[in-house]
Order: sequence, then C-alpha cells, then structure tokens
Amino acid sequence: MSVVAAVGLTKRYRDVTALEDVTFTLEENAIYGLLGRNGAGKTTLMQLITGQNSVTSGDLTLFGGRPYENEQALMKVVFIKESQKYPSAYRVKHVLTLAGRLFPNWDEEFAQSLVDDFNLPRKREVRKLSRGMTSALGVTIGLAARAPLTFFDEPYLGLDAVARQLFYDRLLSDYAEHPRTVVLSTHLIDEVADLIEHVLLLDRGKLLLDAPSEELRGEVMDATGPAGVIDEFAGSRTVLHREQLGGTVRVTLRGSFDNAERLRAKKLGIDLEPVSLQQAVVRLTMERNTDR
Amino acid sequence: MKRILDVARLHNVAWVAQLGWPWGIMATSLVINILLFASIDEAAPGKTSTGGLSSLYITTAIVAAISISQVFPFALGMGVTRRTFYLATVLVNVVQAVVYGVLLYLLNLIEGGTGGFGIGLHFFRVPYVDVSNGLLQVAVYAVPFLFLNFLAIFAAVWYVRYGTNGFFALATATILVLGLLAVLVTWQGWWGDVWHWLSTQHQISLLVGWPALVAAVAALGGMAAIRRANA
Repeated sequence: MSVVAAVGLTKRYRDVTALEDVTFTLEENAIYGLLGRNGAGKTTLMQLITGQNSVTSGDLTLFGGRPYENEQALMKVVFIKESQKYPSAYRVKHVLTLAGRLFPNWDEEFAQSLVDDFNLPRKREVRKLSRGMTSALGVTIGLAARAPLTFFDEPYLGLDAVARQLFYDRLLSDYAEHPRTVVLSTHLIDEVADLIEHVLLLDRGKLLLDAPSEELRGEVMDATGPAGVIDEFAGSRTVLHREQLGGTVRVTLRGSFDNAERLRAKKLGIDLEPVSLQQAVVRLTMERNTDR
Repeated sequence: MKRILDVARLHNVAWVAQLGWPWGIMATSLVINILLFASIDEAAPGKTSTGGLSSLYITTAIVAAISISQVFPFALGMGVTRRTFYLATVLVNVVQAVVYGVLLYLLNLIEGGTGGFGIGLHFFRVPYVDVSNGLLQVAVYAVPFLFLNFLAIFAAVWYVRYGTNGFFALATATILVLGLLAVLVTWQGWWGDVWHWLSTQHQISLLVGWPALVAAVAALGGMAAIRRANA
C-alpha cells in the first residue's frame, strides 16, 4: 500500500489555483525531494497531505484514508515547517515533552542527543530562540518523532553549514536504522542531491516531473563542443539550454545516451557530462516556462 | 481518551502562564483591597465589598482565548485533529472551572472564618453571589468561568478561522442584533416585563442555570467553527 496516493488533486483559493490535477504516490521507505520554485505549490501539497487544509477536488489518501481530521493516519505523520508557530509561553523542554506524548514512535534518547548536538538551550522560551535554533528545534522533533511519514518543509532556514550537515548526517544514519518515508522540500537542491532517491518537481501548481533521481541525472546532459558539430549531435533531442562562447557551444540536452552515442560524441570532440540535480531541475523548470 | 489527555497537556505544560497570571493578578487585587480597606478608618457597614474577584475571571478568559489562537496552530502542526484539540480544550476548561470553584469556596471559608481578613472585607463573599450551600457555592463560582471562557474560546476560534475582518464582522453583527433587540424592547415598552421576568427568576437560575446554558451553546458553536478552521 502506498503511504500517500493522489489522483487529480486540485486546490483552489478563490481565484488562485495552487495545485492543479496532481497525480503521484509516495511509497514506503524512500526519501523524496519535493522541489520547485517559490509559489509552485509545495507547501500547499504538504498541507493537504497532513490534513491542515481541505482538498478542492481530486482524490487524496494517507495510509489508506482521507487525511482531513483522520486521527489514526495523522498520528503517523510529522510535518516540520519553517513557519511553525509555537505558543509564546512554551520553552524548548515543553515542546520536547509534548512531542514525546503526541508522536507514538518518539525516541527520547535520540531527541536529547540532537538537543545536545545543536546546542539547544532547554530552558529558553521558544520565541526567544534565534532563527537557526528554532529550525534546529523543528529538525529535532522531525527526526526524533520517527514518524512513518516525515515532512521537512525548508527546515534549515537560519541553520549554518555545520548544523545543516549535522541534520543530513543524522537523517541518513537514522533512516538507515529506522527506514521511513521522508519528504524534503528545499531550495538547496545540490546539498540534498545525494540524499534524495526520488524527485517530485512542482511548477505553478502542476507536477512537472516524478522520477527517481538517478534516472533524472542521466536524463539531462551538458554537451560541449565545436559549434558545427553540436547541432548535428543534438539531432532531434530537446535542447533545454544553449550558450555559445566563440566557436564553442554548450547545450543542455534531455534524454539518455547509450554507449554508441557516447563514443560518437567523443569522436566528434564533444564533451558529454551529466548536469547536477539542481541544474537539471532549473533547466526543466525554465523550459516549461518558456513553452507558455 | 488517552489522546485527548495527551493533547490536554498542550494547555497546561506551561502552567505558569495558565495558572500563575490569573491567580497572581487576583492576589494582587486582594492585597490592594485589604490595604485599602484597612486604611479606611470606619468602613460603612455593607460597603466593604469589592469587585476585585472579577479580575480572576477576566484574566482566565483571556488565557483561554490566547490558548486557542496560539496552541491551536501548534497542535495542528503536531498532527492533532481539530476535534481532539477542541475536546481537550473543553476538558481542560471544565476541570479548571471546577477546581477554581473549589479553591474560591475554600478562600470564601477562610474569609468568613477570619472575619473578612480581620477587617470585614467581602472579597470572595460577594453579595447576592454568596449562597449558603457549599456545593452550590462551588457551582456559583465555577459556572461564570465556563460562561466567560467558552464565549472567549468561541470568539478566538472565529478569529482563527475567519481572520481579523471576520472577527470584527462578528462583533459588528453582535452589536447590531443586541442593539436592535434593545430598540425593539424600548419601542414596544417591554422593559418592565423584562425586569419582572428577571426578578422572578430563581437566584440559582440566574447564577448557574442560564449562564451554563449560554456556555454550552458557545461551546457547541466553537466545535462547529473549528472543524473547518486552518491554522
């Protein structure tokens, strides 16, 4: 059974369509990257899955049931978001106590070790924490909750590079011991590229891409070579991007290349290399936007 | 039920804010009243009562409203359903009203036993509200908490669901309805009947019965409004 299944999922706010006809599934024990520009609909999608907002049309199931007001399903989910509000009277230790009661799989020892790792002051009021420390608190809850479905929506705002690395490391090691479904929504694509097993790319409310990240990486390539032969080599492939510097042209091409083609490229003096996940996402998003 | 109890902890984990402020403010009011009346040489008989106790009720209602506007978005973020959150909120407020009622009754006994803190002060033994039966006295103290808190909670839920504009629209509508009602009563010359009806009501109906009914209606209204609210 899929953890999440969406068919024709649509969400409209008065005159804005935040999500349009989105169909996908989230499977057990995988790390997903939910990518897209600001306003692409990432947060809306996560709000619908976690029952924080209601679906306009389409079908959405979470652990086999509708998420809205579904206690049994929602107890298996943790949703860590940058915009999470905390009551002004709460201190760090209060939040940890409450999370321990609300999440069935909570690991207190793990939570305490994360608090130490991030140097979180247990007695400080949450509203007095810095941006980065608030994020660290969210990350701590999200990891220690060990929920079968874990969402991180831009969880690293204000976190320094060391703390972010700490987050990625802890996530990976805990995921190895306690596999679950993790959805990372982020703009720092290159940072999480090695973590993500599957990419969901949203653009203007539509699902642009739903593919394993390995496949995606081989799917978008940069070809650099003399202007004369590049276009011939590109042939009928979709050219996502093209830039020319003197006699040398670099094109970003979509589609995989077999060994024969790679050999041909070499003979033509064309340098063929895969682009980073971030570049692939940027090129694919921009291609769609120029199509309109 | 266990889930509701776990969620109820959201309201009192930071108990200093929930308990400390209402009782702290009331205690301050009490001390000021004691000092004030002690410094008056000859307090006229029957004039030693004060409205200081209302501070406890008002602060408690404010705490209840804040708990909705601040705790609800947090609860929703932690995967708590609206229904469970609301039931936990009702539970906390009902238990709190009873406990506060008992505490006030005990303070009432202390005040009576010490001759009004030695100066004949009527801080907890508020005239008319002071009844002879102990259990009834607890109810008389407890019900106004329910009345004010559930009205405050309803207003706060409305605010969370419909925002600032919705909140003021509700306030405007309330003033309009109550105002037009007053106009109608004045126009028809019904005030005499209204006072007559009020004066024939039993003391217990006015202090417990009717406020409890209003509190129950407000509580149900809050439940209906929160089911579609998003933080």
